[in-house]
Amino acid sequence: MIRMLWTEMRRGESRWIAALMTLIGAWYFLGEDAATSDWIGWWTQSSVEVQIFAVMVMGPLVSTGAAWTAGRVRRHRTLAWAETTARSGWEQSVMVWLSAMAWALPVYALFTAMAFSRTAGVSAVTAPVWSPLLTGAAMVGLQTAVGVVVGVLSPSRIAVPFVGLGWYATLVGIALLSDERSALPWALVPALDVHWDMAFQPNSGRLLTAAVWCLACGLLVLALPGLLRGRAVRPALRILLPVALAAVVAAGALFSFRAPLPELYWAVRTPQPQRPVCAVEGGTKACLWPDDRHLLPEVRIALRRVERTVGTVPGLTRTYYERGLGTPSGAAPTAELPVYTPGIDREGLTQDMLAASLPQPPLNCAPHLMKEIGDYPDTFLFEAVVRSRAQVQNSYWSDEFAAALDRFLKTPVTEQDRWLAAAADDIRSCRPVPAPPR
Amino acid sequence: MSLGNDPAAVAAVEQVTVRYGSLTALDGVSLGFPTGVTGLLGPNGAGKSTLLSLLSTANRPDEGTVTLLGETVGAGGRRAVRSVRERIGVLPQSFGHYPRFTALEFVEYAAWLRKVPSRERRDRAREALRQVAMEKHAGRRMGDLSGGMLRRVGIAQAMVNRPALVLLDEPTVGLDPAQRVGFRDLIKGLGEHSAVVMSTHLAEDVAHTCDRISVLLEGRVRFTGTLAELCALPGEDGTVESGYLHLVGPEGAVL
Repeated sequence: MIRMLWTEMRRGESRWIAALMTLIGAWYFLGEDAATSDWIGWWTQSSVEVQIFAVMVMGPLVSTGAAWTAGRVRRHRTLAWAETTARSGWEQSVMVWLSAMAWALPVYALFTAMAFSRTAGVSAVTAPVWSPLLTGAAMVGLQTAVGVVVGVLSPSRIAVPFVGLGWYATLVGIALLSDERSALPWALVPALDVHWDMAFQPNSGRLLTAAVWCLACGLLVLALPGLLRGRAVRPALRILLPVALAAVVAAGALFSFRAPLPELYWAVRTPQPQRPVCAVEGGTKACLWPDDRHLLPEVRIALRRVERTVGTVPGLTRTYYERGLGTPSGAAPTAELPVYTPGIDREGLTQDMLAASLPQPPLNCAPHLMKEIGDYPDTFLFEAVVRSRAQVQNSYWSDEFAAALDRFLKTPVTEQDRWLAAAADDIRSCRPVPAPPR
Repeated sequence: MSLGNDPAAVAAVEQVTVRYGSLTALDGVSLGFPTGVTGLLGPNGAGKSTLLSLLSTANRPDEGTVTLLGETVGAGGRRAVRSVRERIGVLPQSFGHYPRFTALEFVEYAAWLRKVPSRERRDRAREALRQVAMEKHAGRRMGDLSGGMLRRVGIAQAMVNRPALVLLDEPTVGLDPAQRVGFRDLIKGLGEHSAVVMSTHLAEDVAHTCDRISVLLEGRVRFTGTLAELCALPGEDGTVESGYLHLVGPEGAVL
């Protein structure tokens, strides 16, 4: 068996596909810029990135190669000969499938190593996440099985490239047509095109169920040539029936699951940490999930800027908790700090903290337009003042608005602070803010 | 159990009829194939390939029974078919191969297909290649082999499982005269331990290799007997050709 597998591996086309995939994967995973990446630095997201690359890119390629290899029985006219041997059609298909997977899986592992090494270079913790990877590998297995079956059954070699294209189109189609509330198409053809921040972590049970479904379905698909073509020995029912049972049970579990939120179909909320990691600068404080502790140096710099900008303004919230983190009861008001990328820098953090500090009017509060700034809502002026004091990028509304802002910023800081404090109260109470000092 | 007309037969068909639509390819044929080389002669469309496909379990008869190695095909289910196939060797007329495989790998692959135990596969493949004088070329890719060498590998793959029944469909087609001579010896050697059924158009092959001969015409058996009995049929010169012509007439003369 092992020797046959090795022969198939050396003589089949999958080795070329593996080489091509390695090049594409190296370009994709090693060429990513850590500063702007939305996955380098987060272990879960790194796994999801490998998984989605595998299912969307590698799966179609491997299935194409497997279809070509399996189609040799027609290209080289060995079908009738092979079909009248003691090996069942299923065993023959499984051998071709195994040889394709034996090339694909090491490449998949290589991609994982690349992605994890990139994340390990950024993250301060080592916490690799495996369940999305297992689902991805199983899905590639299903894609490859379909490739093998098309190769054996299709009388035309032209069908081979359409296997990969078909898979890609199917996945894109499901992504476009999928009902986000149920996500059921994704349940049966899982490609986790999701982005989770620290508030969520993979639902390993569901992902492993999906992996079982994909593998069982792949093995069943491989039995099709033996079942459809009467001359070959039929696959043994004692093997196929348990596989079919596993597929039915797994599909039932995936179908019957109803998630309260779309993003929770494949995820669960991350349990609260015993102690979040926090940084304090004066009266300004930010707490993060422990896995984001690599962000602390940038967070401290951002905190200093926030402290300098609004530290002297009473009443503005300057305690931030990363999204999903529980806040201590009875403590001072806190603001939610969204961290959507693991490589967020001081600039992004400063802007997010300042945005989180801005006073929010009540729901259904109509905007109060200010004549002094060209009839823009007064909240625009508040925000523009805060951003200008922090020297972060500001929106340009109009010349009149810019002139009013410029006049405001030339007033003494104490007067600015007094206006900001009063204006914050008014905004929260849905009252017009006072006229800006001149 | 009756094995055609021959109780010593390794394989037999009894009153088998095979139809392809309105065409009757075999019509009530009964034949037995004992150990030794049996030649199947007949013009194109006589039913030789259909008979071989029955013996290889690729097809089943519409009527009648096929008994192979003590198993009635179709009666024993999946396990019986598999068991029979483990003990049959087949060389199709149009023998396909995988050009990237070496000769050894290809014969080993055939051994895997015939469920030769894994620990014996490589040795059996080497032995089969040695028997067809291909051991020196075992490491060469199939795509690089000549037509004659490919035919030899074809025989090697057909005998790698030490079959009790070997089916050869036009095994010498495409070989030059010298290669055909070597092949005949090889096939004769195979017949010492196995029942070899060889379909051929070539009288020389029949004369040099076959212990028994069956002549088919329009799906029916016109003659079954030894080479001497065929040659003894009324004809011009007492050869295979003349005996054959006596049976099939000038319109069936394809030898």
